Amino acid sequence: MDIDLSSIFSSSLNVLLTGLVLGAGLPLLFSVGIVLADRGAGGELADGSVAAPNPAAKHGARAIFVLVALIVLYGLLFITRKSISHYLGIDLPLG
Amino acid sequence: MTGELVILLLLIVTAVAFDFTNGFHDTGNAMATSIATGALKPKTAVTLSAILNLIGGFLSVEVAVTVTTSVLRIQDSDTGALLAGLDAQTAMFIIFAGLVGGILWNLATWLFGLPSSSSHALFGGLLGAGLAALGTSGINWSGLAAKVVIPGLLSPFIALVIAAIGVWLVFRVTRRVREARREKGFRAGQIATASLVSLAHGTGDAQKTMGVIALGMIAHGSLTSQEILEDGLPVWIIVVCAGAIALGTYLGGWRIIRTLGKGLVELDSPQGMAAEASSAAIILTSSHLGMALSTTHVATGSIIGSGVGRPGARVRWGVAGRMVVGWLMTLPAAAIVGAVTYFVGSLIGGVAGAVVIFAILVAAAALIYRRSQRQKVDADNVNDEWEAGQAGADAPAETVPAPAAQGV
Repeated sequence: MDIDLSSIFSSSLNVLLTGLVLGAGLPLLFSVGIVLADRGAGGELADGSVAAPNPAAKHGARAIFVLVALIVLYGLLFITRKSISHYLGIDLPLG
Repeated sequence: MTGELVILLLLIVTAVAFDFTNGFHDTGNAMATSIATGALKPKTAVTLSAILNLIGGFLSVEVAVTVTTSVLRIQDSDTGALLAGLDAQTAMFIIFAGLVGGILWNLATWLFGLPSSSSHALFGGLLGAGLAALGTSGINWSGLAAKVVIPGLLSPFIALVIAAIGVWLVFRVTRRVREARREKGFRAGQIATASLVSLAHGTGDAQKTMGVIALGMIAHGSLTSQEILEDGLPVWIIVVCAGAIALGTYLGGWRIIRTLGKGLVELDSPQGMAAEASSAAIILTSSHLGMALSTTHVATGSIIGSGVGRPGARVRWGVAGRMVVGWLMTLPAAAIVGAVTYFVGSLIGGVAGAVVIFAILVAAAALIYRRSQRQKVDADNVNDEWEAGQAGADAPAETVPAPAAQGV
């Protein structure tokens, strides 16, 4: 029985690192978007004070949400890349 | 109709049934968090997941025809053709008995509301049937360790760490955001990530059954690995498998959804989003990185992680512990059922043997279903409070099932 432990270890490490970047990084990015959207909207805050709407924050939030959506779209194309190549004959230059 | 064709037909029906249980067993992996946080109504969630699984199934063009090679030595690992010296009937009985082991373990764990890996159940069933038929030389031991057991042990921890860090970051960054806005924003993110998990599930898991059916037909001689290589799988296999997994998903394994969504951790939308993002990232990238992980192990690890990472949240480790026991029992339990099934089938032999196996499967499945009706869990009570101890997976989960007794 030969088991290549080092290759198992290195693929696990790869899965962990990639997972951290995408699986924890994207929620982090999304959270920043939520914070900006919240600031951008203004209105009454938790402490009772009233903040003016902040257009810059609003735009920032929008940009982040678009970016997250694009990354998710990339993910979709990545899952379906072989089918797209099979049915449509387009080879997407992904990963 | 020749005897072998009858055996093949029963095998195909059983494979489709396995695909169906695979669907409803795993609905929760994608949708339990969205259902628990109220981001999606239960019926909407399972419908969305079913559609995405269906699409995912149709997207499967990479044929998993070598599906058994990670645990058995009955196929050429490159072409998928049967090894020389193995007769058609033995091969078909191994696959058939393996499927029975997988289905019965899936149903038993569903009855107890335990999320367990459908692929491990299938591999366990094949392992037992292979051992019964060919002895230890028929098993690919290093493949079993490297491709099934070790990844199965590691993946929940990897997912747990990623989701815990993700959740911690999310709560840290959004701690001053108004509650209503935060809930609403993360619900959208949750639905998107859950959809990705569903789609990935459809592409990955439907393929496995397609591979099993193809292998059965190769064993029977009605399909060759050369034909698959040149023309792809027969379209009807893709249609039937994608349909079966989608139908299973739509019916929703409510008992398992309940355990995942309510039993482990009290979830709110930021946690749900972080958990599904972790699951989606791992499931989508792991096979590419040389490690095929079980969706169930990853999803469960992520949900537990979302409780670990959130300050002040409580994880019900007792429930998690029962799941782990279930996971550890999956391979041996399904193997025992697979082996017993093979013995029964080959002892009687031929068409009669196949019919008897099939009848045992139907009877056992009916028994488990009837037992499940005593404490129904459905779209209406899936989100009931866990602690109240009312209907649902809570009560039966108190007693962990004895492996073999649950099976046959």
